[in-house]
Parts: sequence; structure tokens; C-alpha cells
Amino acid sequence: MKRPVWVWLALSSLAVAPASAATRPHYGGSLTVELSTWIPVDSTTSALSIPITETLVRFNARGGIEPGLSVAWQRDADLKRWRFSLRPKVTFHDGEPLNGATTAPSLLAALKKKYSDVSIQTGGQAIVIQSSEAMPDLLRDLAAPSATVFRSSVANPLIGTGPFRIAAWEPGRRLAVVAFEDYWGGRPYLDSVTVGLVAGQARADIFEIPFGLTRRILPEGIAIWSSAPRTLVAITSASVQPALLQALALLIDRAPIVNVLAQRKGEAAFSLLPQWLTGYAFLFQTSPDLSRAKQLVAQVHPGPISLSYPVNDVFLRSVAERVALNARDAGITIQPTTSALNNPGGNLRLIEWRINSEDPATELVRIAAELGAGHVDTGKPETLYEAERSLLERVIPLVHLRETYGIAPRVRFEPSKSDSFALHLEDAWVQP
Amino acid sequence: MSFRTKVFLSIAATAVLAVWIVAAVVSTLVTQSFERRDAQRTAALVSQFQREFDRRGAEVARRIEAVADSDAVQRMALNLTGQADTSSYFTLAQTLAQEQSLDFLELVSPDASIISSAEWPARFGYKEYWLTPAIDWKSQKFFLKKEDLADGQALGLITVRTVKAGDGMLYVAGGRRLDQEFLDSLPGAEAMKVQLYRNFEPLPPPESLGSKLASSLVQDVRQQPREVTRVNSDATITAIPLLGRDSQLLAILLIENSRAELAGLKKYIQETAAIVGAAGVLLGLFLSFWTASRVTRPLRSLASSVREVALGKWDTRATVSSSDEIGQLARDFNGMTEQLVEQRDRMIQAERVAAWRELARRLAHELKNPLFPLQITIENLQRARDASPEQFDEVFRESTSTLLAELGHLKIIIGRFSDFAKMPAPQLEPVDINEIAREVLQLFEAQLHAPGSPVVETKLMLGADVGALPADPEQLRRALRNLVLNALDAMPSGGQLTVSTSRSDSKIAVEVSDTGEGLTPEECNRLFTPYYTTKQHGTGLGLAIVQSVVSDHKGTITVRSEPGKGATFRIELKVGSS
Amino acid sequence: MARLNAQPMPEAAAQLASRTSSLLPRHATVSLELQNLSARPAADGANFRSLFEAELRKAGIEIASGAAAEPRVRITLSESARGMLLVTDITSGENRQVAMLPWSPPQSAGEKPRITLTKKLLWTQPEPILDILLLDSNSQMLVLSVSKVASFRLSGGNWMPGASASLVLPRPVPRDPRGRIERTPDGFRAYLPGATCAGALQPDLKITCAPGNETWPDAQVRWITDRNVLESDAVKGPFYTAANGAFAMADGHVTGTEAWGSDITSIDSGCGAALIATSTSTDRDSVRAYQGTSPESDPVPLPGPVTALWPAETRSEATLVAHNLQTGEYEASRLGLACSQ
Repeated sequence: MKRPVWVWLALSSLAVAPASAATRPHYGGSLTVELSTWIPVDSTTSALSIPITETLVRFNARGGIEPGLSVAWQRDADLKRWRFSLRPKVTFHDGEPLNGATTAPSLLAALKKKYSDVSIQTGGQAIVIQSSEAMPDLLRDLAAPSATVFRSSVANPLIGTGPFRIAAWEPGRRLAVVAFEDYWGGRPYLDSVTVGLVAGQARADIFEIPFGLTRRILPEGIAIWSSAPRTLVAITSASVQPALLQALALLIDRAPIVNVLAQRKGEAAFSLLPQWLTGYAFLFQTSPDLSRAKQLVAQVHPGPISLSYPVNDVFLRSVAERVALNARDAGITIQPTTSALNNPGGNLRLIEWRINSEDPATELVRIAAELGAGHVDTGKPETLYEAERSLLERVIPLVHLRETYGIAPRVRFEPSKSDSFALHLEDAWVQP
Repeated sequence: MSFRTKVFLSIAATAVLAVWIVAAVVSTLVTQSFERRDAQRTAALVSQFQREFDRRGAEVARRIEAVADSDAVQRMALNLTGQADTSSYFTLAQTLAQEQSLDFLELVSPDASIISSAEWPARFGYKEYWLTPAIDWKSQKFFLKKEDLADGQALGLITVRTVKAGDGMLYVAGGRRLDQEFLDSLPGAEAMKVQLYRNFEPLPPPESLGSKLASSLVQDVRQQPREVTRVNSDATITAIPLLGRDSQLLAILLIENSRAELAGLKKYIQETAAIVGAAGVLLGLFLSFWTASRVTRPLRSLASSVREVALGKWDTRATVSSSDEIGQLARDFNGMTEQLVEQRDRMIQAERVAAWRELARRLAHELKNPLFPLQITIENLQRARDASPEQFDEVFRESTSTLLAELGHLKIIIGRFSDFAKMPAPQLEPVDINEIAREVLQLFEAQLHAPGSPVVETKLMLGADVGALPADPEQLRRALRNLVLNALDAMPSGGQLTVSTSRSDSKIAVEVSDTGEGLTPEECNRLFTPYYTTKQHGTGLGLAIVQSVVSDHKGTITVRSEPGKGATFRIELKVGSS
Repeated sequence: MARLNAQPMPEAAAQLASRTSSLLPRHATVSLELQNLSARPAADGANFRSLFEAELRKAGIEIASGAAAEPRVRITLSESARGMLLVTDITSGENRQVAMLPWSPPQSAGEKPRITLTKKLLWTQPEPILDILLLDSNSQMLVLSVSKVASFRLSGGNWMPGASASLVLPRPVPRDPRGRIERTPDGFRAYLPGATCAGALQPDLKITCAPGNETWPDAQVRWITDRNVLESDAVKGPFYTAANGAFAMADGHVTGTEAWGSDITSIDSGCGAALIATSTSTDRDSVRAYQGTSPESDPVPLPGPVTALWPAETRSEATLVAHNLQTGEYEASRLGLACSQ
């Protein structure tokens, strides 16, 4: 299967002889990462992956489930009872072995959010998960980023089994991780990774290049890596009539938003999930239809509408202003306004929503929950498509954005393990 | 209007008029002076505005040139060929505008698409069709333009330059706002109120201009753009149209000079004039009182004396309180009254004498009639005794009858005079005058219908609402009888006798009218003099008795007549207590 | 979603046509168009359309010649994160119906080598191959993987799997797994970082690992535990590979030239001796034969990065393992030198 390739847009050609001729990964060295906006520790909402914890099972490239911390599993025919065999010789960062007892607490907390009466029995290297209701999606649930296995202590709130362990953590400002020597999958090449929230310096080995209104002059030799489009910018409505929302969807011209405001670091979005994730997003594509939009506006006779965006977000502010300008052409007055996190306000809201995994069903269920929609049927692609279509009645997707990072020449990634979804630092090394 | 009032009014009017004239003149001179000053200040401000406008425009042009010549813009122009990607220049205009302190800056491609906009960043891609290559922008100075913004529109001082580099080209259009802040910075603006009325939607509401004068001025200039000045009591406002590149009216500069100072001064003048006028009025009042005390009071006193004289007190004396004309007048008045009294006395005396003469004459006449037959009779007796003693007894009987009749006549005559002399006071009781009138006419019925008597038609016109009045019924009957008798006597050949009663207000009137010969005015005047009669016989007391009765009842009696048209006697009596 | 097995195109076309026809009225006439949003070549799109049309006709649906007829059927070859997705959307006026079919196309064969540095594919598997040992006149093959040693017998030109023996290692396998298998008189020996394993072929294939890094008898090198580098008394500092006195050092330097990557070995054949090295001078993975430091052959492009490059049991060949980025599988090949024509 060929993956969609957004990888390795080099500013300077890799044909230039590098300082070192090594093509095999090199163990050792430290890597610094600079972000413009903070991501939570061990989060998968960003394209930068620094895994500290792991899940029982994982999605593979073909959409199937492959072993993670669990190497095998069986289930009863009614899907109410599942048995997982844990991977042997796996330890937590503090040396505690991975077994049923140490696995169950975090798993139970994660599964309780969906299965209210779920229980976990443990026995050695096995755990049994059961519930009074069938759990057909349990494997997907266990592969989700919210179901990582971890423990906490007074000294360390996040003790995982992943290739990196926390060395220092200043929440919201700085994170330092070091290689976990006893990682069951082989310790990472890097000795340590330091992540900081520093804007505009471009001196780190990997630094986020935010789209928006700041342009930075990049040092020579920096390679640019852009993820697959994984952040949806959309307009949601709390109190606007459906006909008006439909009119807005028809009159917003996404091309300028993508090409200018997002500096082509994304693609126009007509669906909640991007094309590369679902393969059917093209079905939602439409062209702006100003005359039809005006007809709908004439039926509704709207008054002024507010469009809120997060305060201090320069990019979303410019998107809001552009949307207001498009709306003005159809006779709708939209007033961009800032909103606080705990007080969204506004008739319309401009939101950013990040894709956490490469499983469209998982993502659609998550976005449905955020929108307050009910259960979403996600069996076949067609049902997924229909579910997304109904969710689009209350959302106007605008653009799917990529995350872009500048990568210093000394940083290398295992090509076989790189993908378009995330930069996996466990597969990175630095040239000496 | 009293003399004092006249004096007061004349003095007050004089003072007020004088003050008003002075105030008006001063006010006019002050107004002219202020208006000259306002005109000078306005002209100075307009001149300042024009200079500052030009200076700012040149500054804007210089900054736009700097933007156009900058490396960033030159590179941009060079790269703008074909389908070049312009997204990387999205924020360039904002950066450049900030560097050059410009409020507006747009970088526009040759096809008029906005590449980057400082004042409205979201507007990239939209067209600025007014930027065309047909215009030589280099030769165009700065100009006014209405700029579209996200939150409305603004007026800007704009310059355009084209940048050509290689095959690429772009427009650089930008400038600075022309707003109230600009106006407030003009020297001299603090002394006046300078406003900028923007002539594009949304139009400022009329009340934002602060006055109806400004509103009407703006409407006028909008219809026909030209410089106009209008004045009212509060301000002088000059409106200067500000035109855009295509001569469309974009804004109106309103320069307002307050006339508050002038109004204050005029008010001060008016107040002072009012105070002075009031003082004048007070002076007039004082003078009028003083004058009155010197003139009016004596005159009033004199007038009072005159009224007393009119009421019959001819011996009234006016007070002489000064030796001036008023005093002389008083003295003359006193002299006049003295003479009047003397003349009245003499006239009374003469009338008394005339009345006595008349009485004597009437008495002689009345007595002569019965006396002559007495004389004849006695002479007959004498003759009869002498000549025919046999017939003397018969003649004695006839003559004694005649003597007794004539003596009875004499007694009647004397009785009349006696009655007239000692008419008693009336005994008042409620009397129905209509009933009295009927009774009196009834008395004369027999006489009127006696054979051989002249034909007199009687007519009774009695008012239904006459009612009763306090009176002596017997005296009233007598008076009425006498009037009827008089009327009958005035119609020896017959005629019409009308007796009517009426009531008006608090008076009851009784009229007795005849259609006889009538009376002359002189006769009317003397009619009620005792013993005056126009009849050849009679005592002449009848009307005097009527007058006496009427007078005792506190009433009035009048007569109106014209010769040949009969006469009407009218008695008016008060209904209230006499 | 379930893991897909590879499905030939005709089968996929038939399946999709069946779903599509079930949404259409019987004996309908439709207009058909195809768009290819995937990375597959245009020829695949044309092929698929032909197959799909044929299947629709079998189902009694007529295809109109123009694009204006309704219902309009549009076939889209699309890709999702899970693989190919075949979509038909049927529009008729304002109505729209959609049918979808996830598809896993069969893999295409690897490229044939085309230059005198020959490459012959021996074996592919999903698990990383550390080394290969051919025995019994090349009729038996031992494949050393991270978790096991597997034995294969050549039969009818194909390698048929035989026995396998799991590796029980004292330490986790390093992130860049490497290993070496060599023939010994009583079987074979496998050298992995942190473990040395002794293997026997008879009576059954078995292997026993002990902690420690033994020195390889021929090369006189040994692994460093938990790492992907070797050490030797002959050179100061760890290195990835060595050949003909050249060492690809762990600090990135390769003695002699900067044009070589981290993997070098040597072949000595009838056409001469050459050093085989991964190349850094091209923009894709390749190996090349060098004489000295001069390239002697054209670069042989590889489907992915080299994960192992060892001398074979005969010096005339070398074992190369590359990770095919397209398929995700590890391909073990034998390199040889063919004299150029």
C-alpha cells in the first residue's frame, strides 16, 4: 500500500554531501524541540510523537490492530468478555513489571467512560475485560490514545512503558525526557529530548513552523516536514438557523484561506475528516455558490451574527475576518469577536479540532461526542460516510491544516518508520 | 387714563426708547466687529487646513515612494509574473505600513487584485478596479479617497505608485486617515469647532453635527458642493466641500465660530439696557408720583369739587394749595362757584318771584271766577231789592243758591291749594300698579262715555311681570288721576289715551300718553313748576302734585312730547324699598 | 476495520459493481465516469473502469455514451489511511447514493536488477531479516530474524518453510536490530548485540542464546550490547560495518571516502573484487560496487533502506537486506558481480 507522501520537502537538497556519510541510525545525542504552542505531555494531538506511554494494541498501517503491550487476545462470541495476554518482560519506567495488576487501573478508568459497568480481572500476565454489554469496538477503544497504560506516583505523575521517560517537567513550558534503556522494543537512538515553548528562535533541532502571520527566515539546510492534514478548522453553530448555516457553507471561498492565510499548509475542507483519512471526503466537495447563498439569505433575513475565535490566535482571527468578508458579499453581517476558553460565546464559533489517530471511526466518534451528537454508527465506510454527513448539518468545515516542522540537518529519521501522520522521535537520531 | 399715568408712561417710554436705541446701536457695532473677527479666523483656519493638507499629502507621497522603493516591494514586483504565488506576501503590507506609519497600504497586482492589505488584511484577492494602468499615477498627487475597512469606512489621504521590476509590476496605494484627530491638530482649531462630515454610508446622524444650522448647511452643500457660510444666533458655520479624485463629494469641513461670546455680550448689553430702562421706568414712576402730588392731586381735588357742584353743592370750595396755574385754577373755580351760587340764588329768587306772581295770577284768576258771580249776584240782590221787591224773594233764593255754589267752588279751589300745601308723607305698602291703573281708568269711564263728550279711545297696556312695589296707593291714584286728567284736557276733540306699565331691572314705569297738541320743549321744562299750566283754567297744581308724589316715592317723572304729536308722561318708581 | 487481504482488481470491480447495481433501478441506463484520486497509475484507473463497466452490464445496467444521462455514476479510486477505497456515487437530480469498497490490491514484483552488480531476491517477510545463511549447496536457507531462526528448503524454485526456532534473548532487541549468522561445524552461530546464540540443525533446528558478545571468528569483531555497532581491537571506536580494511564508523566517517553509507562489505568474484557499499550520493537508497574508492558499477536502486549487508558464506556474494517501504516487508537478496557486457 502506498502511503500518501507529504514527507521531506527539503529546503536544501539532500544531495549535498552531508557532514557525515552514515546511513545507519546512530545511538546517542540529545535533541531539542521548540514549539510555538504547547502540547500536553504524551499527547497525540500533535504531529510530534514523544511516546511515554503505550496502549495494549495499536493500529497498523493497514487499519488493522496489531499487538502493543498485549501480544494476543481472545474474545467470547457475544463480545462481552475479552482476554488479553500481556507482553512479557515489559517494565514501567520505574522498574515495576507490566502485569495485570499494574495494567488494570489506568485501563479501567479509560474504559469506564464508554462502558459504564466494565470490569477487569487480572491474573499474572493476563487481564480479562468484561461488561454486561457487548464491546465490539473494544480493540479500537484500547488502541485509542486515551487508553494508554500508565501509573502515577507522588514523584512522577506519568510512569509509562514507552521508549521515553520523563526526566523533568514544567507543565506548559518545558519537558525533558530521556531514553528508557530497558524499553522492550529497543531503547530509542536518542539519549534525551527536550521540548520547550520558545517562539521564533529556530535554533532547536526540530521547531514548529506555525502558519499564521509570522514568517520566519529559516537557517540554511533546514528541512521542512509537513504532516498530513490533521487539524480541522471549522465553524460550529450554537444558535444559527440551518438555512443560514447552509448559506454560509455555500458562500465561503476556501481557496484563499488555504492558499494565503494558511500559506498552502493545508487543503480546503468540505468534510470533518480529511480525504487521506477516510478516502471519501471528496464526496462532500462543493463549489461556492453565491447566488444560491443569497437566495437562502433572502428567505431568512438574518440580523448581525457574532463569530467567536480564541483570543490571541492570529490565524483564526484572520480566518474569521475573511469569513466575515465573504458573508458581507451575500448580505450577512458577521462580527468577529474573541472568546475565552471557558466562555465561548458567539452565535458561531471558529474551532480547531485535531485528529489524534489514523482511525477514521475513532475520530468521528470523538468529534460526534464533542458536538453533542448521539451514537455514531461506524461499521462500514458507507455508514461512516452517512454519520459524517449528518454531523455536517451543524458544522462548516473550512480547511484541514498540516503541522509543519523545521528539522535541522543533523536530525535523521528511520525512513521505514516515518509516516505522514506524525514525527516519531523514538525513531529519530542525530548525526554526530 | 390719569395724568399721573400719562406722566409715568411718557417718562418711562422716553427712558426705554432712549436706552433701546443706544443698546441697538452698540449691539450692532459689536456684532459687526465679531463677525469680522470670525471671518478672519475662519479664513486663517481654512488656510491652515489647506497647508496642512498639502503637507500631509506630500508626506504620504514620500512614504509611499519609500515603500515602493523598498527592497521587499521591488523583489515582490520582480516575482510577480504569470501565476506567481502571492500568498507569502500576505502580511507584507502590514509590516511596511507599520514601518512607514501609514494607516492604509495595499499592494495590488496588475490585474487589480489585492495581494496584501494593511488596513483590511482579510481582503486579499478582492479587486481594486479603480487602480488602472490608464492613469499616470506618478503625475497624480495625493487625493482624498473613501477607504473600506472591516468595521466601516474612513476617509484617507491617498497616493498611488506603480512599481515595475523586470516583467513584474504592482501598485502601491496607501496613505493616512483624514479624521477628527487630523483636524484637532490644526493650529487655531482649539478656538473653533472644526468637524469633518463624512459624506458616505453610514451617514452620520444629523444630531451628530450639534445644531440644526450645521445640518441644513450640510444638506445644502451635499446637493450642490460649494463653500457656504451661514449664521444664526448661536454660531457662524462655514462649510467647505472636500472632493475626491473624481470630484465626488467625500466630506465636508465644517468650521464653526461660536457666537456665544457675542451672544453673551449682547445679552450683557441687553441686560444693562434693561436695567437702565428699568431705572428709567422707576424714575418715571417717581417723577409721576412727584408730579401727581404736585399736579394731579390738586386737579383731582378740583375735579371732586366740580362733581360736588354738579351734584348741586354749588357752594363747594376747592382747595388752593399752590400759587401756580393749578392754584389759579382752584381760585378761579371757587370764584365760579361763588358766582354760580349767587346766580342760583338770584334765579331761585326770581323763580320764586315768578312762581309767586304766577300763583298770584292763578289765584287771582281762580278766585276771580267765583268772585265775579258773587259780585253779580249780590248786585242782583241789591237791584232786586231796589227794583223789584216782589221778586226779591225769588231773586234772593236764586242768588243765594248761586252764592253758595260759588262759595263752594271757592272752597274747592282753596282746598286744592291746601291739599297741595300739606300733602302727607306716603304710607308705603305693596301696591299692584296695574290694578291702580285699571282703577283710575275705570273712574273716567263714565266721563269718557258721557254723551256729548269727545271720543277718547282708552288703551291699557299693562306689563304682566310688573308685580308689586312699595307705595302709597292713594297718592299713586291721585297722581295717575291727575295725569289722566291732563291727558284728557290735552285732547279736547278726542284722541287716544294710553296707560301702560312696564318693568325693567328694579324699576317700574307707568306711562300716560295722549294724542293731543303736544308740548314745546320750553313747556316741557316748566311743566312741573307749581301753578304752571298750559291750560286756560285749572289751578296748575295737578302736575305739581304728581311731581310731589313721585318725589316722595323717590321716583322720577319725565315728559316727552313734540308739538302736534301728543305727550307722554313717564313715572319711574323703584321696586325696592323707597 | 478488519485487515484486508489482497484482492485482485477484477474481483474488486465485480464486488463494487454488484453493490452499485443494487442501488440502481433494474435495467437502468447510466452515464459513467471515473476519477483517480489515488497514487495508482492511470492505467489502473482505465483497467478498473473497463472491468466495472463489464460487471454493470452483466447486472443489466446499460452505459450511456454521453456524460449527461442520469443517473450519473462516478467511480473514484481513492485512498484512506487504511488503504485503497473504491467509491461509487450515484446522483440523480438532488438525490445521491454512495457505495464504498475498501480494497487491498496485490503487491507488484520487485525490480529486476539491471546492472552488473546483480541482485537476486531470496526471501521477503514482514519481520526484519538480520542475516541469511545458505546451506546444502544453496538448497537450505536459514533466515535469522529478530525473534527466530527459520529454515527453508528450496523446492521447485521456491523456498518452502521448514522448522523454526525462537530466539530467547537476555536483552531487548535494539531499535536498529542487527545480527549475523555464520556456519559452524556443528550447526550455526548467531551473533546479536548482547547475545550469542548457538544453533543446531540436527536432529531438529534449535538455538540457544547466552548473554555476551562473542568475537566473530573470521572478522574478529564483536557487538556492543544494546547497540547497533561493532567494536574491534583493530580500530578505535565503534563502527557499523567493515570490509577490506575500511570501517564505517559510528561517528559517520567511513575511512576512505565520504560517498559510502554505514553498510559496506566486499565481494570477490570472477569479475574482480569489489567493495559493496550503500551509497549516500543519490537521493534514494542504493548499493554500488567500488574498486578502491572509485565506483565500478552503476548504483543498484533499492526499494528502501539497507538494514543488513554482510558477506555471504561464499566470498563471491553478499547478503543484502532492504526494507521495502512500499510493501513494508524486508527483502533479503544476494548480491553478486556479473561481468559487464
